[in-house]
Amino acid sequence: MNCCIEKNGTVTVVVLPGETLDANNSKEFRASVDPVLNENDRVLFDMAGMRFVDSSGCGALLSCLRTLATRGGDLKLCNVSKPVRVLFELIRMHRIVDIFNTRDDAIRSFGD
Amino acid sequence: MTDTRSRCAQPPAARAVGSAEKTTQARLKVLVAGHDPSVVRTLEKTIVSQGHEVAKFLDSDRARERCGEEFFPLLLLDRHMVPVDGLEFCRALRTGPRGAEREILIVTADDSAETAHAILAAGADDFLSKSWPPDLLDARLALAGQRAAVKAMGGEIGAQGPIGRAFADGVAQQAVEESLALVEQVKREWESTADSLPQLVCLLDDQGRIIRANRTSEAWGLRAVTEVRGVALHDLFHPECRTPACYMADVWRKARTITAKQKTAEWEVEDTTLGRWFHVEFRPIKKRLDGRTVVARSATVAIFEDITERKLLEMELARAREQEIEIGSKIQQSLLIGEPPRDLPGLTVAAMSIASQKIDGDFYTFFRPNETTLDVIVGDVMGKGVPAALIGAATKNHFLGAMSHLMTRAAGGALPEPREIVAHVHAEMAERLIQLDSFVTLCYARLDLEQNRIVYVDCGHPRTFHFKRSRAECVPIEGINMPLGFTPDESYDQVVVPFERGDAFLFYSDGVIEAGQTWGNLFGQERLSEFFIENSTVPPSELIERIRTAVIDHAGSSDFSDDLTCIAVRVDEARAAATRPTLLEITSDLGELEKVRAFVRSFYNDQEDWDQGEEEEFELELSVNEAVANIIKHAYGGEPGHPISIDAQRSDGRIVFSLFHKGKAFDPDTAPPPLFDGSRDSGYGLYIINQNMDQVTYTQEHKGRCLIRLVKDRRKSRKERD
Repeated sequence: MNCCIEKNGTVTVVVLPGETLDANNSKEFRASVDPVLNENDRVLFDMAGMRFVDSSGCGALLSCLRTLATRGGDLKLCNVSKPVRVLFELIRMHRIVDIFNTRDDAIRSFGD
Repeated sequence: MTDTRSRCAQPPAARAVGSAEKTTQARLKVLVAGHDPSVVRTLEKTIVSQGHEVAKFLDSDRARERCGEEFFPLLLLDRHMVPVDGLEFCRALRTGPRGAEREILIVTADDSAETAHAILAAGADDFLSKSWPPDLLDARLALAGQRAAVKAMGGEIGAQGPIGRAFADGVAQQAVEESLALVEQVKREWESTADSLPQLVCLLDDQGRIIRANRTSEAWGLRAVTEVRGVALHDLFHPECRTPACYMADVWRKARTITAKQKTAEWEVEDTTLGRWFHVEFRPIKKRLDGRTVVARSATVAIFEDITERKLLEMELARAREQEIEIGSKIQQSLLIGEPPRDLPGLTVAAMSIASQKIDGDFYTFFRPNETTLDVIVGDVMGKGVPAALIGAATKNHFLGAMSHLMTRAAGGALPEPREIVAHVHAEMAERLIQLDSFVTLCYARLDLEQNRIVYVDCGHPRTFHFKRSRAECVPIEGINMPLGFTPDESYDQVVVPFERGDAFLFYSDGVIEAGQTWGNLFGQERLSEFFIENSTVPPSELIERIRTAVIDHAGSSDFSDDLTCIAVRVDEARAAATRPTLLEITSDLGELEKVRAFVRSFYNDQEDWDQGEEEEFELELSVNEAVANIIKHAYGGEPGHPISIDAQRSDGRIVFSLFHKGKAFDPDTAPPPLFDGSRDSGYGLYIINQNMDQVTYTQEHKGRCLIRLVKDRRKSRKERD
């Protein structure tokens, strides 16, 4: 699984690959994104193409957040589709991860 | 008892007395004491005239002195005497040696009730009033003489009782001897009865020590009956045992508390020391009989019955029975039940069969002779257990054989009529069934979608219900044929009933209508038909599920005495050739999740009259996705290649996804609640499903198949939103 990575100042933007993040590919995703999390402190996941996320996908995202947080880094999300956002709210993920409508809003929120 | 016997052997002494002149009595020595010489004199005369001897005294001191030297069976004491008055004298005599053997009368001038009371309270037997006329005095003295004679002879025997009177009449001695002999005989009869009992009978005192035991003690090699006295019950059985926690000691402790409440205690116990099983019973011995207190040394009677043989047989039988049920259950699951067709255009079919504890031989099967025909066969073998299950399997096989046999013989592959098929099976099986003393009730129904009719052969099976949508009524399909194998020459008739789109049929076994706790409270055909009408619009799988729940509710248990078989067939509204399949079959591989979601989306999008929404679509997709992921990860432990099928159904306000798998059953109550603090990567699946669906049930069906039902109930959701 190849993630498309863009640097924007101090923020590393990862465009999540594919349309789904589910029990089938969440482990693979988690492994492929691991180097990015180890080398960067400020990470933004752009979920623009992500149509479907299930509980395993949510678990993988939370795992990424924990990895960064233990090092003092931070993970934010943007371009989350409405149904996926409803799911995040259902399992209270929005209280733990900052979620933004656009990539710019998210990058701005990291500040300097 | 030896002395009783020798007494019997002697010539009865009383007979000599009785044979003498009747009025003559034993000559008694009578003591008369009083301060008034004329009174003493009158009494003396009367007594002498009655044939007795008199010793008379005018003061109590000398009279008492004489009493110490000689025994007087009858004493007449004046109430007023010096130095000791009559009442005190009387009391002293009563409490002295042989006090109860004397007849004591007090002589008084005052015969008021109060005086009489004082006299009797002093222990006197009667009183004589100085104011009485001589003839009354004479009569009373004569009676006193008789009583004194009886007392002298028989100690405590009551003078007023039948024996006392008999003695007085002089004929009683023989009767006494006879009754003593009778007592001895009865006692010996009782003893030999007790000795011939197979049970060990022990009389116990209140400490659990043996007072007596019957000879079974010897027969069981425990102790001689002469050596059991004073032995504790435990020591009789286990003389070597030093375990304080020995069950036998425990049994006595429990028995004592129960018998102390005047109740009987009984148990079946296994004696591992002796390698035997006993039925043990402890009964309290009644201390009161006919309102009188009986002084018994024994407190409890303990009865031990050796039930080892019975117990071993029982255990063997239970093992055999268990094995038979297991075999029968396997036969039923593998041979008796056919899978309902799921992809038949125009018909929706659902079936269930719950095996009872005693296998019944319920069976059903489906044939699809062509694209527009479905044959349903539902049967029930008379009898239970493995034989019934085997007959059921054989019958099912015979139908398959009959079908192919008749089809190959028929010109141009024409379909044989149901009546021909049943007749063919009957011809092949009837004789064997009659030999086996069994028969089979069944119905053979052919649903013909070409001609929109059902062709039906009934063989004594509970009536199939036909729900007619146009009239919203439920009509039983009647048949008149006898069960298969009931009589050797039965001819089979079929009935033809037209149906319309939206009609439905309900086949069932008697286990459904006979479920209930009592005969007066069975589920019944009427209730079933009403239930069918009420639930006529729900999909067949849902209808079957509701019937199952209703029957369990009614019976108050899911352990049925009969197998429960139920098949629902719905004639679809429109022959929906255009609709996409509502069944998806996959294997337990996470890579299949994409396919599952596509199936859910396409099913949802096919519901054109359903007010659809992006969020609801996602909720369904997500819920089914989560449930399937759980099946793969937990029910199948992550092993790939196992079957999972998903059946989607839609009724008015409901969308139902039924997920079937054969993995480990899941109990939602055992799952921990999710944590929302971000510390965990998993544990949200169930929560997500429960939040998004209106009803989620987990059931275990036959053949180890598990069902997870996810229901989106729009009516319910709306209600809750309101």
